[in-house]
Amino acid sequence: MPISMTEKAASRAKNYLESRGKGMGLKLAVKTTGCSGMAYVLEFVDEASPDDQIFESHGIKILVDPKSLIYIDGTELDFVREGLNEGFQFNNPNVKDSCGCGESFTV
Amino acid sequence: MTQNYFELFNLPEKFQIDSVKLQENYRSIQKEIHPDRFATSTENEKVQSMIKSTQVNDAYQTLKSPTKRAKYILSLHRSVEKITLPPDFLMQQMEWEEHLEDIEKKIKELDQFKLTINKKYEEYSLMLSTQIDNDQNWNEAAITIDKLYFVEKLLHKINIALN
Amino acid sequence: MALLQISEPGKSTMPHEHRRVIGIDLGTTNSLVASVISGSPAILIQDDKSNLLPSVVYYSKNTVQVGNEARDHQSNDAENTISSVKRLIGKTIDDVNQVNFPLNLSDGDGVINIKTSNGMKNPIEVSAEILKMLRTVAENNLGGELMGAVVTVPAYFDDAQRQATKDACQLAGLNILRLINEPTAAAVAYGLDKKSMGQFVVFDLGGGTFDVSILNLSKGLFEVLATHGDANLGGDDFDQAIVNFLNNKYKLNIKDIEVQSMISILAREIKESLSNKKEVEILKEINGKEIKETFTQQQFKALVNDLIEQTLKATKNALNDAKLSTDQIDGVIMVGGSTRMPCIQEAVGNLFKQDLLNDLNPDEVVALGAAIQANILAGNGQEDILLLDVTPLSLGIETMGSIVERIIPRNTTLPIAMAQEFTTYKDGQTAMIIHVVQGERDLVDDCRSLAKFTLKKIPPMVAGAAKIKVTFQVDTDGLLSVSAEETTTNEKASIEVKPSYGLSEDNIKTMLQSSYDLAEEDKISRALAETKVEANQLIELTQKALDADKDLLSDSELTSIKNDLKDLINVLNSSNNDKIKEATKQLNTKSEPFAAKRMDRSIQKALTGKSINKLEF
Repeated sequence: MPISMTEKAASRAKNYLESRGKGMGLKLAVKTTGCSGMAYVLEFVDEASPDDQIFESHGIKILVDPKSLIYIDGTELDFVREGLNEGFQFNNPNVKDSCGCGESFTV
Repeated sequence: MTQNYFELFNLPEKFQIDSVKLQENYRSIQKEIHPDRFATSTENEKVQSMIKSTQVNDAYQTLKSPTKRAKYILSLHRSVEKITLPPDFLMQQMEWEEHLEDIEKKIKELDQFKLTINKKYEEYSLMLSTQIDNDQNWNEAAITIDKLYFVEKLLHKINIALN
Repeated sequence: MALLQISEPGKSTMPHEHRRVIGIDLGTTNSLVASVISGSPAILIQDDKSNLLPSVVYYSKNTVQVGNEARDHQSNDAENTISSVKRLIGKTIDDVNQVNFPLNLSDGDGVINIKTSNGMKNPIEVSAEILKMLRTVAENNLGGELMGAVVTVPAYFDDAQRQATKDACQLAGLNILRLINEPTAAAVAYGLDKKSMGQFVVFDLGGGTFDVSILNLSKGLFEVLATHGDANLGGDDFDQAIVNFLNNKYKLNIKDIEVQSMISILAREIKESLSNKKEVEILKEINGKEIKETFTQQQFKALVNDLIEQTLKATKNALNDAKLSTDQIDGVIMVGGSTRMPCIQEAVGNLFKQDLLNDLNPDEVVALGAAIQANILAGNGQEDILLLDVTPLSLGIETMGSIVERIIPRNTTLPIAMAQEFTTYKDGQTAMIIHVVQGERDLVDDCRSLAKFTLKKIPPMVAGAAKIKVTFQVDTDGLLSVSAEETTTNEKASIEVKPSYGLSEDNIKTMLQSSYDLAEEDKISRALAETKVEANQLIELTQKALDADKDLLSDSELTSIKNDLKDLINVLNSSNNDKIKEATKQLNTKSEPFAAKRMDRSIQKALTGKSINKLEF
């Protein structure tokens, strides 16, 4: 299943990449840690690793390493607002349980 | 830091200095050790970076300024003793001071005077590089340093008057 | 649900450990808070979507209001509405002209007391209210607790004003990463935005302060060459010029606080209208007198000409200190709301004979620069930048005949330590008063007195035989500490002080405690959590340091550090705050020489790296 972004997330990402002045796209990944197992990683990418898998959504390149892909396959990245706070959110179909704050999860 | 300031910046111990290299090396060092680089570090590293960064700043200030640099070289070779300037220079000092008072509001004369004093400044600087780098005549150099120091102050006063 | 921002490559943090940091511009008229979000600096907005928070605090009997709400009370309850508190912070009652403040001011043992319906308040407490509000705005925008803040101060602020600002931050519960100078912050925002290189002037005229800084920008290095200014000159004074004109002409009763406040508001409106109109007509009734006037830009310029000249003179002095002339300047950055005045733009433009850089919003640029610096200090940033700032005013001590002996001259790059030797002037003298002052004048009375302390237990000797070494150290926040010691004998008489201004460490602790009424249990668990974070950080960093540089240590040194490291790891799970603290301290002390050696290696690396680069050319 592909990794994708909502239109809103893509347009934000495009803005951020532009004002940063460099970067080929975004990296989505997971790392093991946190209060309930795994945590998301969302970073700018300046250089792709050879084994990264590259997706494209609304003109934004999304890079995922094969190990992370197992855990976030089919994820859609969204951009949401909660009060004054706004930011990105992983809509990950693999998640079984997540900690209260949603910053880490188990599959 | 027991290290000699010239060694710190990887420069030969001379009055004639490569000021571009001094500045470049100073900047490279600060980029590595400045306290801002250790803002989220351990207490130890914060303290050490503060100490080192302070010493590097002090060394840089010393080597950057011709009079301070010359004094520093002398301090490595000669015990510090009071020197007295020759009477004719003291007379010259007074004349210059009076002249500056007379022309304080006259831009044209001030510009002219600045040129004269600038020449003196260069003359003494050259003299120092011979006395220190070639002759290693520390006693003569000590007198020239005081002259250079006076001329440096005078130039500053002229610039203020020009504003 | 916590929302994510995009991190720089490799800089993602663990969950719940986000290094949320902010930059704060605590202004005379308005304050702002900014943060770098997904790589871009942005002003954080308040609930009402505005980004400027008026620096106004209103005290009623039971409530405190900040910002627009507070400002609404200016005309009906002026005595309890405190604006421009930045002009009072770090000062004593003798430093201010009370006529300019429609408030009840009095001397409060070193600080200024302001009488309000909510009791006596000092400028530090008032500033802390503004900072608290900004902190809340930031937490709402960023979705959680803050790790720290960079707060800006005018470059020309003296030690007392800086310390007081820092105290206010502490009182507001902010962890201060650095105080940085406003013009330097502006240069960072501009420099990064435009990728500029060369010599730049930052002309920063705010509501109550004026700074001018000369900087050299090259490859990520922002080196301040000189700074000058006036901590008592700003847009307020331009308003005051209009106030004085109206008072003279219409004989208004300025003693009355309400009247004074009404004229001030009118004056500000006139000034602001003249920023985009050639002339403005006013018709208003104040105190039963009809004010009918047509103001032109020309007329206004004539009223404020002296003020403009003062700013130009300071600019020329700064150039002189930097040993540069106007034609060697590559760009002039205009900062602060008051640079919107056409008469200022014209005067500065004429001086430098070039177009001024004012395409970034002059109200926002300082906060944005502070946010960028906060992001870099926290280790979140991609940019490799470093600020080298200077001390704005000379520091010295009083000697015989009330003459100032300078120890650190102005415009010295920070951090710096400088020492001077003094001696006793009486036979058998066993004590010496050390009076620390700041300023450029030769007489003590013309300078700002920072601290007075006594070095005791000097061994009795003949006059002139003792050698008292006085050392001044100024840190990267621009804050001074002073130490003195007698060096001829082994019996070390020494003392170390940080100047304090009316508020002692204990004062602040009490104020802090009353503002955080945490339950005892919360306090304990909070303290333990903080200790653990610190210990974890030390473990991580020590391991990193060992991985990189353990060859600097002898076998026994290495074993000893490793043992302490193990000890700390072992006690970490014990939940015993004291034990963890002790082990942390132990490891810290043991690795001190290691840290020093590593710093020396960094210097070596900086230079060898250089020569390798050279070879590539």
